[in-house]
Amino acid sequence: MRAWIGSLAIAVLIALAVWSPAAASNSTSSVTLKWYGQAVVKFSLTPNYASGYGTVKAVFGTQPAPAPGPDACLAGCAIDFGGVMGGIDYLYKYAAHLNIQTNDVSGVNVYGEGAADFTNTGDGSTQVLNQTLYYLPSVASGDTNTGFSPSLPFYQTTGTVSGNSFGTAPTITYATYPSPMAQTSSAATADLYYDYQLKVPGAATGGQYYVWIVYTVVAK
Amino acid sequence: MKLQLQRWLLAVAALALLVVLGKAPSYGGLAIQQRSQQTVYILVNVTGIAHQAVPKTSSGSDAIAARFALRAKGSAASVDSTALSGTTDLVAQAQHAVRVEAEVTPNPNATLLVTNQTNVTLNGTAGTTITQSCAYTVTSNAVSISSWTIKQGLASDFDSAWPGHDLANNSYLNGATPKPTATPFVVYPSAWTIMATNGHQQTYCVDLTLTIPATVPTGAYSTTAVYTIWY
Repeated sequence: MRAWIGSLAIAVLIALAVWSPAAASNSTSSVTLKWYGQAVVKFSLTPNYASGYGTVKAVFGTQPAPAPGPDACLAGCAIDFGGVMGGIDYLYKYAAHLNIQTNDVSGVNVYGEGAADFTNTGDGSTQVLNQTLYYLPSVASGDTNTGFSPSLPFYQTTGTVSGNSFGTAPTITYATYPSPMAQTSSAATADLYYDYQLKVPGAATGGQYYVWIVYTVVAK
Repeated sequence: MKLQLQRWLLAVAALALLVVLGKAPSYGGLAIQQRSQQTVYILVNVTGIAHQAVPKTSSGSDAIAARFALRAKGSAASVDSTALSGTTDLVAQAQHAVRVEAEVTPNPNATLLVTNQTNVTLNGTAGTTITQSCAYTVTSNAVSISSWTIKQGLASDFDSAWPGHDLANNSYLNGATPKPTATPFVVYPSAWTIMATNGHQQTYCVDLTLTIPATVPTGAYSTTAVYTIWY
């Protein structure tokens, strides 16, 4: 009986050792707790962000004074090149400033696309956007770009566009994002400055043209 | 008095000679000048070369490190829900738009010098040379002008570390045999070079040859080729 009791005690000890949740060999243990919080992305878009904004014809040497169109205003309104001529290249200084804030430690991707091609409001004709409108890095002040500085084209989006008209800012819904025009790699606040270039096709018909450029900032 | 008149006539003659010698070449009594300009935007998409892997050292032992974690039975689903990272409903994004506009006026001189493309895209890998035959044409429509000159050059380098003269052109009359070799573009502020001297309406094919240095990182680069016609 004693032996049976002893055997039972040993069996109970073994069972406890095997089945107990505290079976780890360490006398102390740690618990790793993971959770996934939603990243926050905010950004402001400021057209004509510095005095001296506006259109400059592409020339070599001494640069003409910038002269924006009538629908442009400091720190707002439209990016208005004003009167331009077919077959001529132009620079628009201090066109757009993006101030980006996120708490995502991986940073953000920045996308900038046209909601449509460059469209003539008079006859409805269009000029291919990626052969007409371009962007290039600028600075907060002291911009030295010219109409011939290297630049990259804006493309018409392949996303779903809603509410696009001359007086209505559209939105773009993406099933797949395009290549980013810029990206950051940390949660720090970022400022991006851009000039635009307009290369007016020689065959463009006369009239008022417009396109909405839609910036989308997405946490990585 | 006679001597004074002689000196005066001599001075006038010398001045006239100076004017004749110093006068610019002319066409129809007008000084030769730039009549039109045309640009071609050149976009280059470069695929960079991946960095070479660091060779494995031959000395030392290759230890295999492993870490294991224990967790309480039945707790897995609630404390380690990694599946959340794969959802698409939680993308954080913000969106704003700006309208870009312009009032376009047709250019009466835009047809004097034209190109059949205003944009050219080249795709290549760093460390290679790529060629695009007749990437674009340049046409003079100065039909009534018996002698004109077309000059060419690049407005800028591709990048501060990638000079524009790595792009060369072979420009020849459309339908003719290309020249034996391509000539590197000059880059502003160097003086433009002469692409052709001819007359009336002519079309030239421009073959582009681009050497992409092995050090150029992946990315998009651009420059602008500038053509001007003078007569």
